[in-house]
Amino acid sequence: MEKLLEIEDLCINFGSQPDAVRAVRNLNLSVDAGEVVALVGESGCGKSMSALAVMKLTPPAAIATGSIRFNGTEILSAPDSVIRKIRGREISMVFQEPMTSLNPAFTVGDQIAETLRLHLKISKQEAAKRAVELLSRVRIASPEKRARAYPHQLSGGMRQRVMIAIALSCNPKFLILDEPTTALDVTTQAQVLEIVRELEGEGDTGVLLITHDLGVVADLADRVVVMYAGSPVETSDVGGIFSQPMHPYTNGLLGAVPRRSDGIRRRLNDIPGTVPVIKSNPGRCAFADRCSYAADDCAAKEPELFDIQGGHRVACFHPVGVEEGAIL
Amino acid sequence: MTDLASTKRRQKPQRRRLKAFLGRKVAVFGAIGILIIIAMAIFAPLITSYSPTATDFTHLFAAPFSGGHILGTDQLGRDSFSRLIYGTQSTLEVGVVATLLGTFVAVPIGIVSGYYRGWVDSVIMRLTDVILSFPFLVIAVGLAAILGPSLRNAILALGIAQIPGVIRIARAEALGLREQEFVQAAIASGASDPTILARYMLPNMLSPLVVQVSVAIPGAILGSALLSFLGVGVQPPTPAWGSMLATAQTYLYQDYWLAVLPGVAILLTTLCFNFFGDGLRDALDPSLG
Repeated sequence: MEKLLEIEDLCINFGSQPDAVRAVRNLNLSVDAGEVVALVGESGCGKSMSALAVMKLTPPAAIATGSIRFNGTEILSAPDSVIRKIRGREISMVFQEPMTSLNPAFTVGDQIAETLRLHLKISKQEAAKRAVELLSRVRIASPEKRARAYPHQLSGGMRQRVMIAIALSCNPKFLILDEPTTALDVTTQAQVLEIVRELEGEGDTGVLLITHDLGVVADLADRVVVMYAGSPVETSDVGGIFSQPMHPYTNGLLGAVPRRSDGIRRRLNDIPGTVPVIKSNPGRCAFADRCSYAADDCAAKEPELFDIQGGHRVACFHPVGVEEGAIL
Repeated sequence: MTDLASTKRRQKPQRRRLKAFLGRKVAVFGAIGILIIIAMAIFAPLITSYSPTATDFTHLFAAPFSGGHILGTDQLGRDSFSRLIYGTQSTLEVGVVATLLGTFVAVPIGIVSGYYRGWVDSVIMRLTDVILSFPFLVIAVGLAAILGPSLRNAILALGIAQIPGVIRIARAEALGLREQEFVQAAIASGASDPTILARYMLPNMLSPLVVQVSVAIPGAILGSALLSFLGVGVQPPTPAWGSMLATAQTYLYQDYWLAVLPGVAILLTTLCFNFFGDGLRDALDPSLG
């Protein structure tokens, strides 16, 4: 069966060839209808850039190659007129920053209605009515009143729910959530996640969830792609990632999650160093410098993703918990 | 407790801005001054019984408070008070119309320039540099020479002179706004470029533009006084403060008040608009809200 979204060999470069900065390298990813795929990684590892590429929103300086097929349409080569019909109608995106993602000059009801009227042929009254329905769908209390509020009159959590209402307004087939809860406090986070989970339960919307919050991943995702320095290093269903993380980077990420059992006054675990900027072909494992398992072969050539067991794929010569020599 | 918090949040920004404005005495002084000036222009025939153009050769250079003329008469026996009051009309007309003309032409150009950037921006910015490199007097005198000196051409010249500055303000605002997440979000929801320019860029730059207009009006008023002083603005016998000043030069030693009156009028008018503009800027300052 045709996948809803299929990304093949996506590369995003900044600058011209020899010393272009390679923001995303050979990303392969597919999302089925009704499936939630999480893209996980530190800041600067190319998650958001990949998501922007799905909507063809990458900055003009970025050069994207490869293939992104959505419902049979090749996104990267599609003309603007086609893309504009897909944006907001078929694919919606919720941005990270709810405080600044709404137009301060209009009421939130107007803004929801505007997106509706952009894509659906409905009257102003009908759009206003549906805007109120959408607000109650994202669990905003007294939606008629809130529809007449300006963004600055709403809290961050409410604004993010309005953003979700806008994203859901035209019943898109695909939803991109770019760090939807990062800017929110924990209680609001829980409410927003609840809305997304509900949405998942009722329809066959495909979701690409971008986050660095592993709690959110465990909560919502069906499959996980861990990215490091622009390329995927481990992909698995959500159970595999948490029960048997194989890439040292994934292990590091999981180890960095603070636990209550850690006790107080203990230093939080971290992964030493920062994400390197990749120029040209590295020819070595990009994570080797920060990896405690690194050996000579890591510096000799770049590991590729390979299947270890039942769809759990890792790009590492020395996967954690796998007998040395069991692979190769 | 929640009630208190929500009432505070529900307070309209318009209300808060009005309060900030009314809290500044000079701003209120400016606003009242402007209202008086506008009233003078509208109700001129009711305020004074003398025609501003009627000559009375039996009362030449009458001193203020003599012979029924509150502020005296000029070299042709015309009532100075009448001429001052009627002069408000042309002064306001030039100041306001020229500024609005310049703003309406310049804002769309500036938004397009800042939003699209690239070669569009380069071309527009180089053109504004060219216009800026001409002193506006050269433009005004040139226009008067080609089209003949008149009120309309003075407005045109002053309007053109304002365009580059307003383009720059609108462009700077657009450059900042285009990077805002809500513009990104609008693109992501499929909005077309005209929608983004009209509904996302323009409404969010209104505050600085309103301030710009209120500060530009006194500049245009001074400009119109200068143009009629040089004889390329409003033409006699229509009374204008600038041309009154120019004529009064000749009689400065004997009848200094002929020069003092329009001078004070110009000073007070520009001062009122400047006070008003400053107050407005403080009230609309986004960093306060």
